Amino acid sequence: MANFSTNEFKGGLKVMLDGDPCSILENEFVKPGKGQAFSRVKLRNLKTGKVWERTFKSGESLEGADVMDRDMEYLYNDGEFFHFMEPESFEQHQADLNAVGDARLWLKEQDKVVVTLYNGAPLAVLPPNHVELEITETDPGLKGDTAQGGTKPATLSTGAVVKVPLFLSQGEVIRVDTRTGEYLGRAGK
Amino acid sequence: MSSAPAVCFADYTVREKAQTISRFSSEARTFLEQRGYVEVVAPCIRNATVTDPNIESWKLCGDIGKGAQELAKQALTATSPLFLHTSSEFFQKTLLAAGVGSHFTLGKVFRNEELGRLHAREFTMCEWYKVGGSLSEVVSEAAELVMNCLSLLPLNTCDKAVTSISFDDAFYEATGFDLRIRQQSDFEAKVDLHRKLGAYARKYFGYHSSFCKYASNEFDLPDFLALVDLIFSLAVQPSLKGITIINRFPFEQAALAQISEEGGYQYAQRSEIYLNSSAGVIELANAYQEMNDPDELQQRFEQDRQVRIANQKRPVEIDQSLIEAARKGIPDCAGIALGFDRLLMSSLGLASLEELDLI
Repeated sequence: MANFSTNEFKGGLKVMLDGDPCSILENEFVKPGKGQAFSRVKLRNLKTGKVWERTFKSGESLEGADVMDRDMEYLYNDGEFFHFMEPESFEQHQADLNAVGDARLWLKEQDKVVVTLYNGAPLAVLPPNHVELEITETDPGLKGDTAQGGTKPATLSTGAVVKVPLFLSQGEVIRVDTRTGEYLGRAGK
Repeated sequence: MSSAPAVCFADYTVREKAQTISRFSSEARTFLEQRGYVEVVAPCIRNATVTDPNIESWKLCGDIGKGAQELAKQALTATSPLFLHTSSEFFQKTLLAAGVGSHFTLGKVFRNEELGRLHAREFTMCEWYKVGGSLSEVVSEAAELVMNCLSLLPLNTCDKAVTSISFDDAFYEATGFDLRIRQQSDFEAKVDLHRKLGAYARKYFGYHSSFCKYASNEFDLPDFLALVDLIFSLAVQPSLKGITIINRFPFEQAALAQISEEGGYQYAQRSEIYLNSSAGVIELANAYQEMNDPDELQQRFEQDRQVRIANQKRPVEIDQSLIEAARKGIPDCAGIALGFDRLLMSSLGLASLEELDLI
């Protein structure tokens, strides 16, 4: 991979740091008038999700990371691995729970997701912002109770638990925002 | 019902913004003229540029379009490159040698490879020289101008109290490190200080340097000074209150200032003004008791050139105009350069230079 110098650091650039692939979040230029210039950089470690703060002398460089985001379709979970397919080449990739992480709570078969590949293998999975999932378990719905602000927990087909309005029942399909885990509404409306 | 007047610079019309900025320029001009400075306009394009190891210039390239004069093309050949000035200092000192007396410039200067919230490729600098004046005089004037500008409009909440402290004392107060140790004869103590600064920078700022030498048993001066710059910027500077004047810079960072000695310790007769503002604690001005000895200047520029080569920076030929002026005789003087856009930004309660843009 190519090397990137501090003046090329910008949000989204993927670089190797301490052996792990990282994504640059922020790069602040620091320079005393007559002194050495530095870059204060915030990076997300793509393996652990942790945010690192590092300071580099201007002109230092880091090796680029072989990391790319690919649009894929989620196929199925075989109990150990989650399987994804690239829609154009039909090439399949399997990802373990480590790579899928919390995204597993929002994965529905045939949904479009973004899989981050590191050296060709899945490193992380980003679900769509909105997903439609079936309620598999919740307290019985209260008919006509559509105006009150009350909520109750509902378990979805993926195992995710979200707060829903009291009038919803088991078997209904709802829309959820995967970034916040919030209920958005009934599906198809 | 009339709407409330805009109380935030961002809400001003482009005309109101222009009028506001113009008010600050007038304030600076009146302030300096009243104190006996005459305004001069410095040319922006020069035949040579500074050797300062940490300042990069814009070099003009030969591709100047169809309408360019043949003469201009000749001036842009490889043997005589042209540069945008990074400050009007050399021109002003040439004027001093010619007898212009105390004077100021208020104009654009240009820096390459500097871009960020507090850095722009071009910015307005207010730079003045006081013939027969002392460093403390020009610094006091600048602090007063800063106070006046901060008081022009009720758009900032800056504390306008002025304090002074030496570089070493400020460093010690904020970090507990005594930089004077580097000037002592105990080699082990120097190596130990170097190592501790490195460990501090790594611990608090994630300092990552592949060529950092602090871990080894040597005292590497450039590396040590880079650590001093880093820790000053990220630990000392943010701790400063109101308007703070930092005096007695490390002699290694004298640039074009005189070097003095007290109690066996050398220091540069260089001061900077810092302001605790809406943009954080920012550096506003840099001042010297000017060192005008031609041989010493030649030596310092030669040294800068070596540092540039060692740091793999673009090599720069020495600008002989300043040395020639010094041979002719630059009168004893003190000079200060004030980052005018940063002062404007702070006075208007803004957090970045780009918020000053008219459109």
